[in-house]
Amino acid sequence: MRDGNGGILATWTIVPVSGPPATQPYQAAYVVSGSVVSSYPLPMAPTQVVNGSNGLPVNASFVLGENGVAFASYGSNFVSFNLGSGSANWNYLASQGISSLSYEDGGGVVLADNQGNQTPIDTNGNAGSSIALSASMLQPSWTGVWQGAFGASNIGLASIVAPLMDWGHSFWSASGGSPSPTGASQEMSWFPVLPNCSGSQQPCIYDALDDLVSRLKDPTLSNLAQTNIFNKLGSQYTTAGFITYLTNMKPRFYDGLRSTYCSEILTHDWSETLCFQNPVLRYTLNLLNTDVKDAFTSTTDALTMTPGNPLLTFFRPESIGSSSSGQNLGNEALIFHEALHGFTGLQDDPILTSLGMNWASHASCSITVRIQNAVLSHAVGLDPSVQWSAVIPCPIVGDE
Amino acid sequence: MPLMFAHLHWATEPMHSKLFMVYLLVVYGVAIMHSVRLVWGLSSLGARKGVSMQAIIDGEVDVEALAKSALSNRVLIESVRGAGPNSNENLSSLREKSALHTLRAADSRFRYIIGRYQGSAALLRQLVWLTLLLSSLVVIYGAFPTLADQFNDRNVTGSVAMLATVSLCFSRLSLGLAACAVLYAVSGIFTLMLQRRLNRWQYTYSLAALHGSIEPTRRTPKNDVL
Repeated sequence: MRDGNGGILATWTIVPVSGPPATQPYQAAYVVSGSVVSSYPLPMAPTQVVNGSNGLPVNASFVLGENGVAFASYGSNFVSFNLGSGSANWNYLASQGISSLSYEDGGGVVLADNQGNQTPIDTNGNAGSSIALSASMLQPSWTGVWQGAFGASNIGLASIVAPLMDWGHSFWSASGGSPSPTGASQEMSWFPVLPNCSGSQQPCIYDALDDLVSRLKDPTLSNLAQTNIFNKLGSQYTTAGFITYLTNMKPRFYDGLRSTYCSEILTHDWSETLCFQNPVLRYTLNLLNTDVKDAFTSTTDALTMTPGNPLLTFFRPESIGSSSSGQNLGNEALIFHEALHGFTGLQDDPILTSLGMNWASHASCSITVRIQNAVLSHAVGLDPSVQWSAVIPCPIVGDE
Repeated sequence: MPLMFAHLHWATEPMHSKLFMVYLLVVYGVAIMHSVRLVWGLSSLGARKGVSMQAIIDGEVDVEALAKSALSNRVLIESVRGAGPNSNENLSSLREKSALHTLRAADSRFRYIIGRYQGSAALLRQLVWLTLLLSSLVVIYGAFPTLADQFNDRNVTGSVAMLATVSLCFSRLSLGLAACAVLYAVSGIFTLMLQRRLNRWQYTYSLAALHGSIEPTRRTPKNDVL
């Protein structure tokens, strides 16, 4: 396992050809720049060699956390330990075995067992509530969506509706190094997920999106959007086209405050091919780029790829209201606003001008307020407790 | 509060501004490298010994030592033992012929080295103009992208974003202008020092030539830059 900083945890198993077996057969050495920093028996490892079906010793698998903490799993037991000294922090026994371990934001891990259950383990080794996902070979993807196999033959691979995996900042976040188990050190993550809504299996913003789409299908609201927004932006834009844009491919919403994605890609000034996750390449070839997390000023709410299909938006988590499971006026107006960028390819100032507002005296959030006032405030039953200007600050001129 | 945007941070600066900052670092590196070389050559840090006029006439110093002593202002101009341009004793011995040869060779060596130093000073002066040009370019090129970035901020109107943009652009310009000022001052100081060393060497050479009947060279320093 590489530590992403020039170091490596090398492990081996002692199997004597003759004589008594080793009392601590599982060993490790932490090597940095070719020098052994420390060498130790793996903590809480089996005292006897465990052989696999091929007769060879089964190797432990590893996941790297932050601040020198790593995790080793041995079949049904896994341990948190200090990478430098090898001392154990805590140990957890998974009675159902371990299918995969993934390092989570905040310092804990998410364990998927052999029975299709997903269990979060916090930084002190305490297990949270398990969720039965009824799938085998469970593994989270780069975007946090859980995937697994169904059926006796384990052939049917599918995405699973479950709380998204919120990857932690690590250089070996899953057993294979990353969600792509290539054995290479990868820094996580370009696309950190937004917090889930309480009682929901997805971030609030997706609940808001679903509600927005269904409301825009209502003829009254559709006509208002067409008349007050799309007609002013250009004859080629329609509400129907906007709905298709939002539904054809699932919009991608992520946490902007934690993303190391190159912000220049959002304005098409840089290629994703040249935005590297590899730590060495990032700090050399991407030295002149600005991470999305750094592009967020103290009052930036969202950054959207303009244009972009599917819609790719990075949000400030605090800008998303959780009222009514995210299905509120403020959230839906914000999505509408950001989706306009992705849909039309227009930046804030031409949209403001097209909507009849002077960009010098208005802020970009005036677009959100206009959408609120001219379209979504007419939606029946939409929760107004979170809305722009009245609740979320935005300088108001009066003509929004 | 537009002034709050005036601070430049590496992480948040756009790519063209980061490139400019890298350029400024390189320029400062070049300036430091050449300055150290000039200071080393023009000062007595090299622990060179002082050379007296008498020692030159007596042929007691070698070419390299004489040239470097002249550069570091370590040639002492003082009265010499009775000798003059018409003295028959001066050219009468092989030793004195050797001294004349040394003096001429030292003159060539001195002009070669000082020519290189003048090249360094000229480079620093040229960098002033290049830096000034790039500073202006960064401001002109970066104005609109910076305004777009600032306007993306939800809490600011276009006019406030414009003020913040002006503030940021001026901050970037001031970085460049500061580098220009440093380069201009350093190149000015070195140019002055080099001119003084050259004048003093010409004076020393003339004096020595008078004592040794050597025809003083009339070359100007610019013609000798290698």
